[in-house]
Parts: sequence; structure tokens; C-alpha cells
Amino acid sequence: MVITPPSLPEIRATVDIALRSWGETMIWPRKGSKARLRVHVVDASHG
Amino acid sequence: MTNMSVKLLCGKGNIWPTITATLSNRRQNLVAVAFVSKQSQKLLPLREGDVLVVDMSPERLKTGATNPWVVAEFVRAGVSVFTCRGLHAKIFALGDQLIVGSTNLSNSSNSDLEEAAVITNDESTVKAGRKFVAQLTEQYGTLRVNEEMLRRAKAEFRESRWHTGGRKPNTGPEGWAVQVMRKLAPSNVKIPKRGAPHIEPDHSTTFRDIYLNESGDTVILGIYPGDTAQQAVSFYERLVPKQLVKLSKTNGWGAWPSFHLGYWSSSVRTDTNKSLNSYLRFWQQPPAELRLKPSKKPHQYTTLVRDLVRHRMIEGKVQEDVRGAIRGRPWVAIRPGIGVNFTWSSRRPPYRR
Repeated sequence: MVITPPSLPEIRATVDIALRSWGETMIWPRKGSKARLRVHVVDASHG
Repeated sequence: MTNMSVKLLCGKGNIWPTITATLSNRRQNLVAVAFVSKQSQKLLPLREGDVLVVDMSPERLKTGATNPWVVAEFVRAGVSVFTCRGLHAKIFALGDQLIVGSTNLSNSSNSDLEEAAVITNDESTVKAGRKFVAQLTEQYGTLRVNEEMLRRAKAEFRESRWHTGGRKPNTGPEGWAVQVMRKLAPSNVKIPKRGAPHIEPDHSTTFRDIYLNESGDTVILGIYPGDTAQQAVSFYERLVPKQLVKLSKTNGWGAWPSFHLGYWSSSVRTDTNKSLNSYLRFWQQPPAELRLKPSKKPHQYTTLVRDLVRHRMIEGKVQEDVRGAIRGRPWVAIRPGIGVNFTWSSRRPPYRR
């Protein structure tokens, strides 16, 4: 059995869906950048 | 009151389905089984806080009886794994049931071998079985399995000539998951001595980390919001419970209560019977004595356990286990976390936005 890991955009989108459900978003580093991963509050009501 | 029962299980393929189905979600599972090989986590999906004692001594590694890659999977899942040289017992103390028999933790035990075991809910026998496994973890010569031990074990391991084939799990420090995480956020990858490699964002007010794991033909992405008292405050303040509950019912997603009692950086996990919805609503407005705000005077464990039972956060019958696990600690803090995950599976269509 060979597992094909999900693609990076797919993983980012998946994490974003979870965070959005409690009103946050992830600031992903740009490709090749060593910037750090950060979380931001987007909307207190997050509807 | 439950009637005492004793039942004999025997024959090829007749025992493991019972063991798997008997695993307790509510009480800590304590297992001592001599040898561990492939597919073990499917047969025995132990969880964080459970205990597994195996024989991972050099002689067992050289004959391929115990597979350190599989042991590493249990360690990554948060199971407390110990190695005890000379262990030959196969004893499964699963909640209020005890199973003792001939089954090792292997695919061949499940499908190829003629096995026999006895299952009972007799209280004194279950208690004695739990005590036996607990004592094994403490006896001289038993070692807690850590990353360094696993590294050495992998070098010593020789595949048994009877069980060749398959492939090694690929989620260790050099596996695909770490490579993916390095592409996602190279400066935030953590490879701890204990636990799974993960990404830890800076300044996350609500959750600690993201990890990738594999199990069988699935890949799992996990996130733990509300994991510490500090994170719980921000998380529950903003949370709209019905949104997270709705997400948990969406194809591919899962969410469940992951209640911890924390002491410094370590934690004791307990299970709760509360549904996700009532668990979330409970922690949004917790009773005064179970306050979430981090305090210089965290909860004294003696009264805390009583209060948690009173509010039905933990069950009365597991309070002795919880009290035992946190005994000797001067205080503990409440960690009302949630496990949130998404599973990519060959059996399930991938989630599309």
C-alpha cells in the first residue's frame, strides 16, 4: 500500500477551514521563505 | 449491578475482533503483550493515556518478534509504552473487562493462528489484571520506551523471515510528514523527543500544534484547540459551538472532547461521556470552581476530582483512576481541549471546497 500525501495547498486549505470555524486564520509563510507561521484572529463573529 | 460473566474465546480469527471491540473509551486501557508486529494499531487502537507493555529487548528485535516502527506508532499516539525483558504474558485490561490468552499483537495472531483466550468482567479478577500490568511498568528492568530507545531498536531489528513484506511507517523524524511540514513552515517544525513531529505556530492563542500522521490507508491532519488553560480562554470566548459541531459532521472531519488535567508540561488525559456539543457549551460558561483563567493558585486535585465528577465531566467510576494518576502532584490545571482532525482516505472521497 502506498500513501500519496495530500498536496501542500490541500493541507493549507484544510487547516484554514478548521481555524475559520473558531474565528482565526493562518498566515502561511511564502514558498521558500523562512518566515514563521502565525495565527490571526479574523472575525469575532466568524459567521 | 452487572452480572459476572466468564467466556472462552477460541479458534482462528475469533479473538481479535472481541479485543478490538472491548477497548474502553472511558477508562484507561492497560495491556501487556509480549510481541508486537505489523497492523497492530488497527487491531488495538490504544489512545493517549493508555498503557502498553511489550518485550522490545535486543533478542526479540533480532528475531523480528517486536517491530520498533510499530511500537513508535503507539508512542506517537500518546500511549505510555514500556519494554519488559522476559515478558510472555498476553493480558488486556480494557475498561471493566479482562482478556487473558495466547494472542500476541500481530496480524498472524488475528488471521493465521489458532488462539484461545478468556474474557471476564469479574471485578476482583479485572482489578488483579490491572494491578499486574501496572506493577510490570514499575518493576526493576522495565523501561519506558523513548525516542532514543526506538532509534537503537530500529538499528537492531531484523525482519522475521516468517513475516516479510510490507513497508515501514513513514511519519518519523525523517518521514514524509516532516518533509511536508518543512515545506509548509520550515521555521516552525518541532521534532520532540517524545510525541509526533508537528508544526507549532507562533503566538497561537487557541491551539498548540498541527500534525500529520498515517494509519493504514489514511492520512490524518490533527489540530488541538483549547489545549491549555490559556488557550482555552481565547478559544471558548470566540467559539460558536454549532459551527464546530457542524464541521465535525462534514465528510472527512472529526472533532471530539479531549479533556486533560495538566501539571506543568505533563498531562493526565481523562475521557468524558459528554457529547461534543454539551462539552463545548459547558466550557464556554464553566462553573466558578472550574474556572479556565490561568491562576497562580491552580486547582487542588483533591477537590478538583470531586468537582469534575459532580459536574459529570468525568465519571464517578473512573475517579479513582484519575486520582491515582495525579497522586503526589501538588496541583493540576484544567485543560478542556478538543481534538479536531481531517482524514484523507482511499475509502472516502477527498473533501472539496
